[in-house]
Amino acid sequence: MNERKESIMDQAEAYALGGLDEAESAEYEAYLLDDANERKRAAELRGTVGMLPLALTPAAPPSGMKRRILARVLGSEAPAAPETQQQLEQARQTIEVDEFRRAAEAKSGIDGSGEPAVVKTDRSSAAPAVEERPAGNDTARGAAQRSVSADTAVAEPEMARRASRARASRGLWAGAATVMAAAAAVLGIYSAQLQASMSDMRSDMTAMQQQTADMERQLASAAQPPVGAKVENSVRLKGGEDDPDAFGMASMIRDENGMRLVVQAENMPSLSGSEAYQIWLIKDGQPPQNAGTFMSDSGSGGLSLAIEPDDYDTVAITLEPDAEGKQPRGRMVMAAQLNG
Amino acid sequence: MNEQSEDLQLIRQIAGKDAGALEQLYDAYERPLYALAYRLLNDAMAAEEAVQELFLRIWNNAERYDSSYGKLSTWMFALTRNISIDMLRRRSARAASVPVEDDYLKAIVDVSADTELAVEQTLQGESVKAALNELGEEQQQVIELIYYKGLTQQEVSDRCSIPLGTVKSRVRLALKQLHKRLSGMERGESRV
Repeated sequence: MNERKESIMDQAEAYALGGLDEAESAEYEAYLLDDANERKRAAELRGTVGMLPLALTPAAPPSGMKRRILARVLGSEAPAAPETQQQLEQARQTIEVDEFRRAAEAKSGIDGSGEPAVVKTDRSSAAPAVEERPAGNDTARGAAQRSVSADTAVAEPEMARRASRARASRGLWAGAATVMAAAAAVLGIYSAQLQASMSDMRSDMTAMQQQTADMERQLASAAQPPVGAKVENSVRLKGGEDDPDAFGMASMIRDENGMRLVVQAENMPSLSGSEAYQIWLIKDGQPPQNAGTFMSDSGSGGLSLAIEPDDYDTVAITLEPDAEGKQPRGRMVMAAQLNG
Repeated sequence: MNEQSEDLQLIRQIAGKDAGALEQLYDAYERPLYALAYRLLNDAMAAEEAVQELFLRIWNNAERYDSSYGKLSTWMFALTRNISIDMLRRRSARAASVPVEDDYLKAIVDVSADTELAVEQTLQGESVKAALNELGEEQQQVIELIYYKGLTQQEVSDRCSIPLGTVKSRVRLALKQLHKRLSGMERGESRV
């Protein structure tokens, strides 16, 4: 084996993984053609690489993905590319305009082959796609017309009137064709914009369906009774100076739905009026987060809530004038370090 | 019937425009293919687009599958990766669509409706994960950058300021080690 080939064959693993550039891949593949053993090795390495995706975290496909994909795939049957479809549509519009013009000319008794240069210019501006005739023919046609006119001098006034009417009629139809072509172009643009909007809306809808499915899954999961819950951390809540008898327990419990903080308190001061106990989660340097309120006539109570375990380092219970506060207004009853 | 024969029969039926066979193939591989596309594109919409493009290609060109290339799943994963990497390269100028939270990806697969194949995929996935975890951090990094980010060895070398020879060496060793660990599974009678 020559040195170059040896060097390329050393790249079998990179080839299988997709780490070669185009030139390197082509060179490696060229060597593969002549080497059955290397082909076998490459196939084996591809097999190894082909297993990598199996290690990925499972991802639930968006809701309705199968239906959408199979509908699009099975309904595809080699569709024309969007650009081709656009070109076809433009060509169709051009042909329609041309046919319309021809029909109009036929109706007004005008044969396009005898039209003077000035009319041709009008038409070409109305429908650019209509084929231009070679300029040299105009001279020939002009000569022929002049010849005919000379031979029929007696009928000249009548012919002049007809020609005048024909020119006027052609002008009208050319104008109509111009308007139609412009309308077709506007409709084409509008249609393209509508399609783009529909595509965007479809994308949005898919994303929303996906989010809905995700939330439904989370809801269903949250509604299930916890299985295998494990207490990861428990801390004692101690009453402050004003409430030395108050005590409680804050536990962080992990189950399949995530982490929950469960707070239970006893011997708290009695509530009066609209007063309420409120639980706060505190992280250094940040405002306390409201974690819920509860009321109790007996001085005992508690609640549980889902938390991110590393988000807070202190839990506290306050006595608040009502259950509506977004920030602490009352006095601290008890507190404990969560990660202490 | 062994795995290769099953694959061949399925792909022949698809080449003969058997919609049922296409659906069978879709059901068998939807999740791992989507997971791969999502991992590469980090965008649920784009991942769906990539899977759709894959099945379009399979439906329109099933006869191009050559069993000497490897298993059908290997071929499909390679195509999905190529499609996704192409999309990654193209989409830089396009507005990014709504990204999906990581939690979405971490959603636990509902195993209640899993087929035998899905269970098999999960078990094999665990083996592959274990094999990957045995690789050194640097080897895992080159696999990540090349396979999942679509970089060439040269680009890895440039981006990480590592000599090209070192990159090549890491790739070679990583693949050799993975191959050694997983070759039993590759040859196994599993469908995936």
